[in-house]
Amino acid sequence: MRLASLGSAPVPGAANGLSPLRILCERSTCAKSLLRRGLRNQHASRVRYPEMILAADLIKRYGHKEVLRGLSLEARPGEITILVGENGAGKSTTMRILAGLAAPDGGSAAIGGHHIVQAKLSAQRALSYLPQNPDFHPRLTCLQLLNFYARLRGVKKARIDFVLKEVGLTSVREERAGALSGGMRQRLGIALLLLPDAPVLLLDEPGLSLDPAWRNRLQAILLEEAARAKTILMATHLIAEWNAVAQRCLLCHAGRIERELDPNDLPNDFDMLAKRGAAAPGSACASHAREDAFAFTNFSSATHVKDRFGEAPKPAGEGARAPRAL
Amino acid sequence: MSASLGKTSLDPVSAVLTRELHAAILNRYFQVFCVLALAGGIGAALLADTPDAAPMLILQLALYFVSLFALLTGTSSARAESQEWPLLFAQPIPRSAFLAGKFLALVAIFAGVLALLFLPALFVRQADPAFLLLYGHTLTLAAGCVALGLCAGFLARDRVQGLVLGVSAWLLAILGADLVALLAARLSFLQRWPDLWAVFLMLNPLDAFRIDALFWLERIPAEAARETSLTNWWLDHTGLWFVTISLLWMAALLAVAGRHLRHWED
Repeated sequence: MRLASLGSAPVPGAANGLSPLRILCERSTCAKSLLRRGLRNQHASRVRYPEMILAADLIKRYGHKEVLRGLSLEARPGEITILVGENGAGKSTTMRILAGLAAPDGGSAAIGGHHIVQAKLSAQRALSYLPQNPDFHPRLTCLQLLNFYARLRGVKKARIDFVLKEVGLTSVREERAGALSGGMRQRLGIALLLLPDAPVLLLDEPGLSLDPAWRNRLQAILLEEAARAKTILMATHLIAEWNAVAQRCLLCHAGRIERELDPNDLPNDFDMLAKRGAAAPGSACASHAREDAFAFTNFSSATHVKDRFGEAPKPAGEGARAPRAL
Repeated sequence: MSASLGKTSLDPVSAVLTRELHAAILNRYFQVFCVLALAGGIGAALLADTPDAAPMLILQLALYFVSLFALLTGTSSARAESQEWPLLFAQPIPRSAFLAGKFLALVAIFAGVLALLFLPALFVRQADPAFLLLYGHTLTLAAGCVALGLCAGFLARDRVQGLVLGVSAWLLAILGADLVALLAARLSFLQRWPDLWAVFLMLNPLDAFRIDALFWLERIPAEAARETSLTNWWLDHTGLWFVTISLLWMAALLAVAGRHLRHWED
């Protein structure tokens, strides 16, 4: 199977009645070996790999409230994919499901080919997650916390020094977590994210407590990680900051991926995004929206990902393009 | 291969155990407990008129003081890093390993700290089997109360609710059950089933501990109580029964806590 064809090819075995999960797992064996090769490849970012994160038709309810209504997405190694949307759009819930912290009420999700519910520990071995506002045992020092997580993930102690240096916390390594400022806690969270060197990184609003300098540093770190063929999925509503940094930008709205945006032309806020989406024909905003539509929409993450799980794709609407070639 | 598998499955437990030991050293409940345990141990040694009186004083401390502190320590430990759970439970370890590590660490810590309560008495008496057994049973009681505290802490939504839940359960076990039995004793038709009373007491680990100590350590003549075969059996095996019922309660409480943790969602 050629690498370039993995993304858009019909799912092998779907016609033979194989379950989507089994198809996915068979793919993952290929994906893992490719990824291992990719990590050794200095030009990893130029190579296309199969998706490391797949979610199809995710549904999540809290009581009577349906937070996710059939959300589907995919993310590939070597790319920073950002998930944007207003408060309550379902970004954090999606991240929690992918991290194995919440079970979906419907749909499927897989990390590195491992089903996030049925093979949760295998999926979690392939990922590292930074929650929104990470908090820690207040009585433990930064070093004790890093040692603990290093033991859990089987990481060598030498990497602890490396990640502490990466996030500029070497001087406070013996400080208790309870005494750290919000920004320092966030940086400790980033250190823990990087610690296991996992192939998939999930970040939920990582920039909120960081000052501009550290937000820039975080972008640089993530770009380095992406260049090492990591799959990075990040939820944020600081949209404009990720202009020209992310490779893909998915707009989450009302529990679904509404469309894919041009990652090089992200607006400053959601009002602007809404204006673009609802602009009158002929206006500048409408022209933006059309460009989005031409280049990225009907991205139909949903249609595409359903196809990967073995369902037939829906026919594209008028003026729609086929999903972006992988 | 099996050795490496065993090592892998124990790694998370030992990592949690080490973390809990680090955290416990700085836990105020624990620091206060250490000081009071030492003071209690010295007090029991000094106040005992005869060498045999020291274990009886320690018994009272074990029943009312060790059990309560073990419960508070368990609850405090369960809630200590609840804000960290999203990060912790995104790691590839079973949540039961987290619970097992916490429980084992707290029991190990109590095993050491209880020495502060027991060692001073050795200046006035010898470490005979009865005294060592009292230490073992006190540790078992502490382990049961740690399990109760962990269960209350994990079931609760916050630390205060956990403490209220845990202390309520402890009060029920130490006073409430006996109060219910006392009130029920006024009902004449219940007097026809003496085994009912025995079972009621047997199922409560604190009562089982009390009975064990009174009839075994104090060597109270128990002929008056030997009315049925069940009470006969119990009074012949008070220590065995106490350990058994404590282990059963521990398993049940940890299973409930583990189930709750397994289904916990951020």
